[in-house]
Amino acid sequence: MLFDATALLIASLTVATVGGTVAVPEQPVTSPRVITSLYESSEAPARGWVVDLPTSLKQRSAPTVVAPALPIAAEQLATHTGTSLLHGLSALPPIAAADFVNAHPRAVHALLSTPPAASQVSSWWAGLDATAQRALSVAAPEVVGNLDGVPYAVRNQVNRGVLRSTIRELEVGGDAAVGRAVATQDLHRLQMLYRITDALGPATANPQRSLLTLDTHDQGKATIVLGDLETADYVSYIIPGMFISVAGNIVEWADVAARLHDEQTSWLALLAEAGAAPEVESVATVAWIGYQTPHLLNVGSLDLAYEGRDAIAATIDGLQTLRADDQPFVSLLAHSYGSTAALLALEDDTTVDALAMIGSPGSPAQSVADLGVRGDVFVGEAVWDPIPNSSFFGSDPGAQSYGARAMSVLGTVDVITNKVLASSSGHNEYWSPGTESMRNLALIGIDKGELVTDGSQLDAGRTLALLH
Amino acid sequence: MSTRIGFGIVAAATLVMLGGCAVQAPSSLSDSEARDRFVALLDETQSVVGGDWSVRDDPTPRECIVPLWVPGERYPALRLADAPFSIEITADRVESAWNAHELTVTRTEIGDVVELKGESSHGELVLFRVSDSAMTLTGESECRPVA
Repeated sequence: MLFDATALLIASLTVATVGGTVAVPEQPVTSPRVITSLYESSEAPARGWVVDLPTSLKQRSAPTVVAPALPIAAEQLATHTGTSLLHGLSALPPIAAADFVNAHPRAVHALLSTPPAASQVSSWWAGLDATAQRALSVAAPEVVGNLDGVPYAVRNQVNRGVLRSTIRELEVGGDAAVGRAVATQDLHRLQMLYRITDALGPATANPQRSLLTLDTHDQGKATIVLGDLETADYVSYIIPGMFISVAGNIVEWADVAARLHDEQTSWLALLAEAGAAPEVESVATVAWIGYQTPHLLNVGSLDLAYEGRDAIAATIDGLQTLRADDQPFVSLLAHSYGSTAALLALEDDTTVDALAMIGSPGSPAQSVADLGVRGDVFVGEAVWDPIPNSSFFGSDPGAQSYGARAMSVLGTVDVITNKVLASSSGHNEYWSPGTESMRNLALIGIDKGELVTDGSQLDAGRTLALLH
Repeated sequence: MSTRIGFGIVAAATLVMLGGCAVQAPSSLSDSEARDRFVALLDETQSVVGGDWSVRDDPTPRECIVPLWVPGERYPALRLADAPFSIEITADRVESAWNAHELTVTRTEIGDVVELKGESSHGELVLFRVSDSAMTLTGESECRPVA
């Protein structure tokens, strides 16, 4: 155990980018107010921006759910959870709903931490008419923008609105009455939001970039999608491990997703040109920072991995719900502590088509048979990375008894393209461009596991002939 | 003596630091000129090949590292077109055009696909693939220090 802790410590010291944590206190909770007096108020937007919601074919075809006919008093609504809270919230007039969200941040946090199933959210949302959807998006954007089951185009638009308005508030803010500590926190928060803006790139970004998760408080959360989740044939989520934060790493994380997208697109185009695939298929890659990743002092605990597990489960549930009868090939590409979070999710009810773990400290599952993975499970282990063989959280996914396939990250020459592929060493070079690791991760994400190298002599035969 | 040695060490260290930390782009052009040159190379390649091209260049830069460990960024390109009338003639034309720009060109056959890789002394990379199904033109501009 001492060795394991030392290994983690050594690995952590090799981390090139360290995202600082900024402790921002939860929004002050004002006294609960009874809001029945506001019922007769108009449906004017509560905020200064207008939402013109996109529509979705699936949304229109979803079953209708009848919302409660009568609004519930705020104090009473605050005791509700899940879909009951959603129905109550959407039954309120917009200003009352906005007041409720501002006055009960803990209720909102609880709703988003343990959200209803995406199918329930999808049904609830589809049951609202366009005016109600628009009003709720303005009144409670943090809720609408972060709930899996709400159409992606809506979430992107709402979250981008929150990003813009929060930046504006913080820039203009400058409340002289606040202390230095709060001012410093606001500054850090503003810098975090600037980084998200940078990661989103220009409006003309190609592929399009969408902001599907946005939590502007504390260490923050953000999910940026490259491509179209509603239509992509292949969807790859990249799951981060220790030290990865929104403020410190979202630009880098989006860059990894962009390079993965480039690589997958290039492979699919090549396969189509070589006649190994009927047509060029599409991909979406997801720069996902959907949970608070650990730092040195709490990396030995599974607490944050459980938080990650729940967030991953909700994310995949949302995708599979919205794609209904047009399911994409879904892969999780998980690094370090993020692989533990992914494993925990896959030990439960979550299912995906492929899983790749790099630098993994394991999980309670003892073999791939315990995981909800329909296809192959891959494990990459770099030299000088002390984490993979640590079995820190109960198992070594790289052990032969585990049943996963090896994914070479040592560097080689690609037998298909003749490209020289660089080696990854240590705990933090798995995502580096031009590496064998990135090449293999890209192939895993597009269901071309037969071309993934394992460092054995068999690699010489992993050519396009395997696909014909 | 020891003072002189100490001074020498400091001076040498200073020179190393100045040399190592100087942020120098691969070429003497401005950022926008370097990007324009890269786009012009792609446009010329398209023109040499002919056909209708779908330009999907991403205006969002990718991170890269300029020696020595200086953060930089470069711009990617992705362009697609239908198959040409002749794979060999098309590949030859592109190779000639790139040679004229003093790119180092490598030609590889990947199954039925002919791939040309062009690399400039500034670190630009262009990749042209052609088969009887389609053509793709991809690449990355030179890695420039983040302004």
